[in-house]
Parts: sequence; C-alpha cells; structure tokens
Amino acid sequence: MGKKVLVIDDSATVRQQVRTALALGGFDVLEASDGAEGVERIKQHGDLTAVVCDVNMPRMNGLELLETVAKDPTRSKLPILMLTTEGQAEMVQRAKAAGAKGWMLKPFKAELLVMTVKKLTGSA
Amino acid sequence: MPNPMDKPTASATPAGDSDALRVATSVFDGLVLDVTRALFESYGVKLDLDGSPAETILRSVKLISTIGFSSEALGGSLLLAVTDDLLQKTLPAPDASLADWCGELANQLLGRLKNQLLKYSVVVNLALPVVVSGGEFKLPGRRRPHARHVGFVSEAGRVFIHTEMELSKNAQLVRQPEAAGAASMDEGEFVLF
Repeated sequence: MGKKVLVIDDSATVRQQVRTALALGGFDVLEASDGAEGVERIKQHGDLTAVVCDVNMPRMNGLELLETVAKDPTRSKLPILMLTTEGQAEMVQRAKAAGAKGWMLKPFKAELLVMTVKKLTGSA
Repeated sequence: MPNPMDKPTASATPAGDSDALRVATSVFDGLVLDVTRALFESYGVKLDLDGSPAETILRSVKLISTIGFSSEALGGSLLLAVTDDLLQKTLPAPDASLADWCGELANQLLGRLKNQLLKYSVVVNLALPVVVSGGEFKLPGRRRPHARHVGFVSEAGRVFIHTEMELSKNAQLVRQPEAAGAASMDEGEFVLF
C-alpha cells in the first residue's frame, strides 16, 4: 500500500485528475469535496501523509481549513499543498503563515504535482 | 450584434467618470480576451475570434457556467459557454463530467482574470461557479449597458464569453508598476515554503 494522500476540491474533475496522477505515483488517494469534509477526513484518517487542497470551495475554503488544522496539535504538522487558481500574494502569505507547505497554480502538470507530493511526504 | 473586444490601452489616467469607464472597459475586455486564449492554450487549444452572432454560437452550446466577482473598484459577472466537443477535447480526466468541467473552466478563467487585475491593484473576490445545462440559450433581447460578449472558434469547438462589469464611482483601472497585491506566480508554477 502507498502513502495516503487526501485531495480536497469542489470540482470532481480536478479530484479525478489529481487522484489519477497521484495513484500513478504510487499513492493511495482519498477525496473530499469541500473544506468541512476535508477536516472530517483529516480527523478520521490519522495515517494521512499529505493533503492537496483547493482554496475557493463552498462551506469551508482552503485557507479556513489550513487554520483549522493548524489549531489541532495532533495534525498541525500534516503537510498541506494548496492547488488553486488564486495567485494573490496576500493569500499565499496567509497560507504560509497558517502552516501550508506549498502553493501551486492550476492548471498543474501531473509529474510536477507527484514530485512535489513525494517531496512533502519524504518519498522523493 | 457581436462586439469583439478591443485590446486594452490602459496607460492613460482617465479625466472623468465616463473616461474612467471607457478605459476600464477597454482594459477589462482586453484582459478577458487574453486570459481566455491563454486558458484554452494551456489545454492545447488555439482560439480565434468568432464574429458570428451570439445567437449562432449559443445555439450550439448545451452547458454554461457563470461566476460573479466583486471588489471595491468593480464588480460583475462572467458567463462562459463552451460547446461539448471543446469541453471533451480539454477534459483532463477521461470519465469526468462535462458540466463539472465547464464550471471548473470558468473558475480557472476567473482566477486568471483575478491574477491579471491584481496588476491594476484591484483585488476581486470570486463567487463559486454555477453551471446550467439546457438548449436554446439566448441573451436578453435588450442588452444592459455594461454587458459585453465575445465569441471564439477553434478546430475543436466554440467558446462564448458574456461579461457584465460595473466600475465603482471614482474608481479607475490603471496598471500599477508594482501593484501591492500582484500575483506572485503564473499559472502552472508553484512554490514550496
């Protein structure tokens, strides 16, 4: 079994795209369709090794998810990579301050995403 | 009547509200053209302007997606209509839903537009996309003053963009050499912390 990675995006197409890329890279992939569901998945799966997370989503956005996870001492070290269309410097800084490990702008290249997640999970 | 959007001439500082609106509309229209072409090019599709009437393009469309945006300086909405053949051509996951992909394309289009507007010190907030499927889409017979549209054609299908952008009173859309909130990355790039 590969390392477990959670993909959070409100677009099923993007989730499928990320899932396919990461599965080919040897990861086991879980999905959530918004930040609130993502937080639940993170709580449920203590063996997660990384999260790939969108920013603009219903119910709870990616920055709010980051800030929620950061408050949980048991999960605050979980590497989270933001994958989004947003490139605003202020948002990138807010994510960094909240503990995100990286920021990637869509559309993404599959090999780059896999390489980055491998680096974040210590698999590179 | 189609109104292919002109390229922007954004350097002049407008003298009054009507000038500011004219310049802002020109800049905004130019940005919409540029980001639309760039988005589809990133999925391997070259778009050319399509001067066909809106009704003709919309007749071939089954899915549309719309997103609202707002900021202190301006607000409005963008509607993206893409023919199924072009959605299929750009689909990044083989079995994905065309409707979901239509919404994500609109999201990525607005994201690119937002990143460009940052260079004008305009920080827009984006709403979530709404996708509608159907047939016989039509624009209202009487166009609102801020409504604009443009059509594109490619070997793989057609794209139609309808925008409404209103400029706030006393606001301007002038490119800033070093805008404070400017995008720190281009599409496809990443940074690790």
